Amino acid sequence: MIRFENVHKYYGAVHAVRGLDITVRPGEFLVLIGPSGCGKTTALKMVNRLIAPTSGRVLIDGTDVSEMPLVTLRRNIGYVIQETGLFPHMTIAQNVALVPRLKKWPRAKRNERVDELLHLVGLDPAVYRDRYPRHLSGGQRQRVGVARALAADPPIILMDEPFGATDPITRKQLQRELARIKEQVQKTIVFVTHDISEAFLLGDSICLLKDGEVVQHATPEELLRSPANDFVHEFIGDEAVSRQFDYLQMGEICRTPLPTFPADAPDWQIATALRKAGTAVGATIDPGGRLTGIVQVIPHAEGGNRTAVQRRPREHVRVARRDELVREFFPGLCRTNRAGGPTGGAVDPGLVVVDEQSRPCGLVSYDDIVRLIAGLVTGTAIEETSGADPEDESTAAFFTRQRVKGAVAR
Amino acid sequence: MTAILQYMWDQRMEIWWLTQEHLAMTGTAVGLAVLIAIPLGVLAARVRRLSFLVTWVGSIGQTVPSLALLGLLMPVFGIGTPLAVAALTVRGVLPVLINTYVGIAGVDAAVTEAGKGMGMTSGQRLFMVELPLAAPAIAAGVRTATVHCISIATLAAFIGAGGLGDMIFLGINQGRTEQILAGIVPAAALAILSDLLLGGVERFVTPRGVRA
Repeated sequence: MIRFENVHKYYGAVHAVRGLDITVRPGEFLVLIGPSGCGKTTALKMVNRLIAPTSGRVLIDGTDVSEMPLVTLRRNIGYVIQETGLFPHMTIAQNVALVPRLKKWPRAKRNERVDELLHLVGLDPAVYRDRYPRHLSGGQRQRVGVARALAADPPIILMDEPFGATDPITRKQLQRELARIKEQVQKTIVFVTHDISEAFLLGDSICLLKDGEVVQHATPEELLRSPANDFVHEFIGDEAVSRQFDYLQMGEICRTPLPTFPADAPDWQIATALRKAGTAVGATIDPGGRLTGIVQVIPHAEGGNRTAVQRRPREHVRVARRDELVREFFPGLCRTNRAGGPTGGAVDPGLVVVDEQSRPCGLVSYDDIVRLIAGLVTGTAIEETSGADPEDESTAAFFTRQRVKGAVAR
Repeated sequence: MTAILQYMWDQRMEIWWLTQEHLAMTGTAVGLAVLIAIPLGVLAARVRRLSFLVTWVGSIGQTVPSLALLGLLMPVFGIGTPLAVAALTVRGVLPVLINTYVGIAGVDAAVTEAGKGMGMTSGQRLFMVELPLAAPAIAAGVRTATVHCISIATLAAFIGAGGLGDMIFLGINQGRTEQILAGIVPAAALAILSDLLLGGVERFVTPRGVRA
């Protein structure tokens, strides 16, 4: 665990870091982000004492770093910088094995570790082990930089804009790889960047700094949902539009009400109640209020006024909990069918959303999905549609109707 | 032409002897210069305030004529070989010192920072990173120093320190061209040979990873 306690840094008269109070939990990936000169790199370098705070303390697992032996401290913290800082006169293997060598690991163990790490960062050891940094591309060098930081298996890794100098395609690739490596190695990572999409991709928490002060320290989701002020809002900018989908929960897109009935209610009662409610789909529940299935009113094919009620048991109904993420369901949602589903008979009504106790709270219908996509395309935040009058015909519903008409005409 | 070759052949023992003297003088001076200059250069590269002094003294020092240097040092070392070696050492220190300083100061800041950040001690950074990377520059400095010293060492004859300069000055005094040439040709050959040899050394100490 890393703790910053009221840390200040002055460079002459410049107050670069102003009262930083941050805690990084073990295994957490913290992203420090902000405009140039916000103090993010200064804060990072205070952890491995490349910079000393003017006042305040930086603690690792409760011990003030300034009281730890400098060399030991640094050998137990991996360090990756933008320019990679690979030693040009050492081979890739020698570079990666440097800290193990300083720690006097036996040679065989070092060699084994080098191969393992090169594999981890996606470089074939047989090909790259004996090459020199100048033989490698920028992206490959940065991979070696990451491997070198991981070499002695330090519990903490500091990364100072590691992908800042790579081209956009390589950067995306490296970011994805780091996200994967992060899952595999379980380290406490402090990562400095000014790339907001990188921050959202990698961070467990994001700390936005400005003029040496924390503006907001929150999870990516919190940052998107409730930016602390206009600066945060502006800084997140376009990312908010492209990310709004990421944390959207099923409960938030479920707009179609779902009347409930006791499982033993007779068909006629259900049909009447549904007609009154102005909907064609309802849910049946057990005495505990838990979903047992759905019921659908099917207008008779002959066009007569008789209606049938089709019951579908729970195991044939697609169900999502309301706090589950929409993105996990999205491919399935898109397959929601207007025409009769594979179950035959009635139209597939959509996906039933239930609460934590398995009580139905609503239905995600085809309309809801179209509305969601329309919102994403036009860039309107999901929240903005939530207050919409249910009587007001949405654009999505309009399009649906047009399409149905077209089908009939044909 | 034949007369010159004939003269050199006749004097081969003398020339051989003077060449040895010449080499001993330059070798000692360059050796001392390296021992003094490399630590000073390292110090200058580490301590920012000294770096200014080193480059400044270095540039001024280069401009003092060699003959004047002999005169300057005479009160301290008297006449003879010690004075010659001292003067050559001063001459040799400058290029090595400046090249050491530039070589180390020129190591990529990112490399130095990475070394620090990974927990290398100051000594480990020096011996594992900075000196290997500065080695080609330092070797180039030694090469320059050696070639300079070999040519300047001919002046040592003035102060009775011997070397191939003896042959040249005797020849000048007696107006014998072949004798002058018998000093000049071996001295020039020595300079060229050592330049070639040290050029090889320079390539040898250049780490493989940074070879062009």
